[in-house]
Amino acid sequence: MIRGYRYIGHKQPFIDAKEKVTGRARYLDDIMLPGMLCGKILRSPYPHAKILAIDTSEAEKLPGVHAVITAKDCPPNRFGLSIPDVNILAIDKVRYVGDEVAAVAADNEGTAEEALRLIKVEYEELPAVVEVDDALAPDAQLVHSDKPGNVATRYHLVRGDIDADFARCDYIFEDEFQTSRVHGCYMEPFGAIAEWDQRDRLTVWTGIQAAFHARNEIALALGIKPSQVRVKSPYIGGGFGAKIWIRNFHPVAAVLARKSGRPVKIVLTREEEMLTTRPRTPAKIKIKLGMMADGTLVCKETKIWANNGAYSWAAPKILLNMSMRTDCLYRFKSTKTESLLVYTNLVPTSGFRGYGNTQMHFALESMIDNASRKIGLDPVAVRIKNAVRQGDVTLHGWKIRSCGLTECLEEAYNRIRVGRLPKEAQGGRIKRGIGVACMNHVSGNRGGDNFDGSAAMVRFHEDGRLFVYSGESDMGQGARTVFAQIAAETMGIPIDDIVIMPLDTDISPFGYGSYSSRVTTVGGKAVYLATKQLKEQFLKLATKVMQAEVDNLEIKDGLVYDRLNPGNKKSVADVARIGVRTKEGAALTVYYTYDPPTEGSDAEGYGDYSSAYNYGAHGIEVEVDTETGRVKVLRVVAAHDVGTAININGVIGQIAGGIAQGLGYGLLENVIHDNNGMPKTTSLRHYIIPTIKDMPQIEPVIVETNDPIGPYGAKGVGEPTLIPTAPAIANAIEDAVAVRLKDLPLTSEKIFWALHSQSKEGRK
Amino acid sequence: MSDKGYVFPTSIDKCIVLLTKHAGAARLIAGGTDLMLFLRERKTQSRILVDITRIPELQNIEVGPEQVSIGAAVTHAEVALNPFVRKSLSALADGCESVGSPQIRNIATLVGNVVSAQPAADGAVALLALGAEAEIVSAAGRRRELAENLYVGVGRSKVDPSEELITRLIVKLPTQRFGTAFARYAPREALSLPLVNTAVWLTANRGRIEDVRIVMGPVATHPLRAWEAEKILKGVDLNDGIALKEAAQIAAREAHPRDSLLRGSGQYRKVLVRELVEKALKSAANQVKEGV
Repeated sequence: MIRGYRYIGHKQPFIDAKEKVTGRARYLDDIMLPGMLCGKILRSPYPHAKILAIDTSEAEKLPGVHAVITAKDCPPNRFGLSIPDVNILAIDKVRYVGDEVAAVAADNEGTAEEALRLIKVEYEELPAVVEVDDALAPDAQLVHSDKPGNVATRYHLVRGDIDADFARCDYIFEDEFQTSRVHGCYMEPFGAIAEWDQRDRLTVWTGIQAAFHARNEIALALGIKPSQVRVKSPYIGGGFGAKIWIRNFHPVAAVLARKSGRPVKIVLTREEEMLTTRPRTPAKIKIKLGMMADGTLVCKETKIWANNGAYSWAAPKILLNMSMRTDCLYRFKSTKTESLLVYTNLVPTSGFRGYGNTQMHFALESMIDNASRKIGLDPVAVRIKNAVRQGDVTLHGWKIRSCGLTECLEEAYNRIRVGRLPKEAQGGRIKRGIGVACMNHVSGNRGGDNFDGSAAMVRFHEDGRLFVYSGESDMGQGARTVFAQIAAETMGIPIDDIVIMPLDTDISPFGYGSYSSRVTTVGGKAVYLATKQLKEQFLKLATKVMQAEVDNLEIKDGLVYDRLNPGNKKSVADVARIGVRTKEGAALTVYYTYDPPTEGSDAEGYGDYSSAYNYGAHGIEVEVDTETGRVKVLRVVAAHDVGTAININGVIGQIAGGIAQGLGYGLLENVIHDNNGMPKTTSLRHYIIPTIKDMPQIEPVIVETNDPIGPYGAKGVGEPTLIPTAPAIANAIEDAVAVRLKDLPLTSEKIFWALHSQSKEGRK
Repeated sequence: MSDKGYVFPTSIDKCIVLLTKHAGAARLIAGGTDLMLFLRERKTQSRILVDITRIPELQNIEVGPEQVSIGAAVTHAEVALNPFVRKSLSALADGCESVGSPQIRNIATLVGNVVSAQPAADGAVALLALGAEAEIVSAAGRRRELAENLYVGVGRSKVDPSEELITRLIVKLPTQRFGTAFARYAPREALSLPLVNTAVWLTANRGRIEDVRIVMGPVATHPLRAWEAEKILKGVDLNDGIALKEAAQIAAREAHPRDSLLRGSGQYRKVLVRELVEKALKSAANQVKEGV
C-alpha cells in the first residue's frame, strides 16, 4: 500500500477460502476412483518383538478381500532420508507400537478391518528400549542390529576458542532442559490413493508437503524410477511438518494396488495418527553459558541427547538444527556442541514446525532469561545487547542480509508492558508476570550444494487469464494466495484472473516443497521471476499489436496502456487472444528455475545456507493460580520480521496458529508412553491441545526489513511464530511466581509442586 | 455393529416387550455417543438396537412443587438450558454444560451419563449430589432406586440395558432453603475430561447446614460420596469458612485418585479435590444465604 502496490502487503482473503468453507474443496478422502479398494494396515501391538510367523490364509479367504500383503510381497528396499532404516512392512522384527506388519485391500472398510483380525501373527516379545539413558546403557537391546550402541547419528561442532573464552568470562551458568514429544494434530488424517496404469506408471494422490521428494522416496521404496511415479496433491488439511515426508502407507498402498490390480485408498484413522504420526523429536539439552558482568554473551557449550524413536526420518536433520541455529541468534565468540540421536522403541520422530529450533530455543531462551535475572540484568536488554544485526556474518557463516531482531524485541517488550493487569489478585492467590523470548529461523535451507530453489511455470490463456504452476504445496498456509498476489502484482492484472494450478509432479515444475519456511521466499521468487519474464514476452507482443514503444507500455488492472497516447489501450485478454489465435503464434509461456544466491553449508555445517534469516520475539503475560498451579496465558504480543508481508491476513493467521501450537507445546502437550514403551496418549481424548477457549488475546506486530533477495522483500514466517512461545511462557511464569521450570510441558502439576516443594517431600 | 435392526418403540410398554422378546440380544440406545463407539470397537455387541428417544413420555423435564423429573430421552443440553434447573439446581446445569462438546451435549442423554457409569461423568456427579432417584421399568415391573446405588464398577451399571429401562430421574426439592454447586478442574477450557470434579448440595435452617451431600469424581471406581466431610458439616454455620475448609480437607482424604500418566499424580489430584470441594461448598452456602 505504502509502495503503491495493488496486492502486495494487503489483507488479501485466501483465494481458496470460499471452496473450503462451502465444502467444495476436494481433499484426499473425497476422491473416489472406479473399482477403488479400501486399504488397511495391521500394526504391531508391541514396542519391540520378533515376528516368528505370519499366517494370512484366513484373511485371504474372506469374501471381498482382494489382496493381503506382508514383507514377502514388498521389495526389500530400505528407505528414509539421510539414514535409510525403514522397510515397507516389518521384516523379522517390530520396533514400536504401530509398526506396519501386514496390509489388506478389500471392497470396503468393514471387510478390510475384518480381514486384519483374521491375520495371525506370532510374536516373541523383546525388552523395549524407552528412554535415551536405557538405549545408551552398555548392555542395551539394539533397536536395529546394524546400529551399534543405538546411536543413529552424532554431531560435534566447534567454532572459536571456547576454552579460552570460558576462562575469561565473569559468569558461567549451567543448566539442563527437557522438551517433549509433540503431535502435529493436523485436522486431516494423512493418506494416499495408489493406482498403476497400463504403462506401469504409478499415480499416488496424497496431500503431502513435499511432492517431488515423495515421488522419489516412493520410487526408492518400490525400486522403480522416479519418473515412473506421479504424485498428485489434492487440498491438504494441515501438515505442520509431519506431512513433509512419506510414511510406510504410501508404498504399502502401491504394493496393494499392484497385487489387487485395483486402485487402493488408505486413509489413516485418528487412532493410527496418534500412534504413528511423526512427532517433534524430544531432547535433553545441557547448556553451559559464559557471560560478562555487563551482559555480553561470550560463549556457549551444549550437549544434546535426542530420542529418535524407532526409525530416523528427518530427526538427524532436526538434531543438526538444534545443534547449530541458536549459535547464530546472538553474537557469541565461540560455541561447541556435542549431540547424539538415539534409537528407542517409541514412535519415530521428525520435524514439526520449528524443525529443531523449537527445542533449542526453549532451552537457550529460558537459560538467558534465568542467567540475566541472577546477575541483576534485564533479560531483554541482554538480548538486545547481543542480538545479531544486518551485515553480520555469524559463527556458522550465515550472512545476515536483513534482520529485525532488535526491533522485534523492542516491540514485544514495550507492548507487553502496556495495559498489564495488577501483579496480584484474590489476596495474592493469583500472580501475574510477563516474559519475552526471541528466535531466529530460515527461509530455505541448502544442504551442501543441493538445489534450494524453486521453479515456476506461467502461461497466458487466450482470455487473458494467467495460469501459475508451482511444485510447492499449499497445506493451508496460504501459498496459493501468495503466488496469486505476486503474479497479479507483477503482471498488473486482477487477482481473479490468476489461476493457481493443482500440484502434479508430471506437470508442475520441480520444487522441494513446503518446509524450512521457504515457500513464499523461494517459491514466490520463482513465480515473480517467471511472471516478470512473461510480462516482457507479452509486452513485446503488445508493441506490435498496439504500434507502441515497449518502454511506453504499462499494464494496470488488466489493461495495456500507451503512456504517450492514453487513448491507445487494449485489454490484456485482447492482446493474449491475438498472440494465441493469430499468426503471431506467441508462446506466452515461461518456465523459470530459480536458485537463491547462497553457497550452502560445508561438511562441518559452515556456510550461508538460507536465502533469508527470519526473526521474531513474543512478549507474554500470564497468570498463575498458586493453589492449583494453573497457568493462564492472558496476552501475547507477537512481533515478526517477515521482510515484507505479502499477505497481512496470512501473516496474522500464521501468528495465531503458531501461538496456539506454542501454547500447547508450552503447557499441555506430550505424546506419553509408559515405562514399557506402550503409548498412553492414543486418542484426542487423552492428548490435549488448546481450543479457541484457551487462546489469549493476540497483538500481532509486523516488522518489515525488506529483504534484498526475497520476492518484494519477503521472508518466511510459518515456523517462527511457534518458536518463541514456550520459552516466553516459561519466562513469564518465573516473573510471576519466581519458579523456573525446565521440563516441557509446564503442566499445572509441575508448577504446583515447584511452588509447594515442602508438600512434595511428603509424597510417596 | 448391529446388522439386524434398529427400532423405535412408541411407548415404554412396547419397549419392554421388545427387550423381553429378544431375551438379552437387544440393547437400548438413546444418544448413543458411547454405545456407537463401543459397537464399532466391538466392546459390546447387539442384534437389535431399541431407540427410546421417540417415546413421548421420556422426552420431558417436568418441574413440580416437590420434585423435578427428567425423562430418559432428555439431553444434557436440554437440562443445562432448562430455566428452573439453571436457577435452582445450578450444580446440575453446570455439570451438564461441562460434558463433551456442544455436539455431544445436543445428543447425549443425562440418563445415559448415569448408565455409562463413568467415575468422571460431570452430569452424573452433579445428579448424585442432588440425591436423584431413578425410576426403572422392566418386565418385572416398576421400581425406584437411588441413582448412586446403581454403580457396580468402572463403566458397569446395575441397570442392564438389554432388560430394563431407566424411564426418568427424580430430584426431590427440599422444603427448607438449599444450595447446589458444581466445580471441575480440567487441563483446558472445553472438550476435556476433568482431572477432578465435584458437586455439592446442602440445606440450611437458620443459617446452619442441616443436610449436605458431596460427590467427587474421578477419584474412585464410581462417583464418590465424601461421607466423613458431610458428617462434620451438619450444624455448621454457613459463614464458617474455616469449617468449610476443614471439610474440604477431609473430603480430599476420602478421595482415592490413582497416579496416572495422563491425569497426574494422585497426590496432586487430592490437592485439587480440596480446592474444588471448598469452592463448591462456599458457592452452595452463598446460594442459601442469597436465597436463590
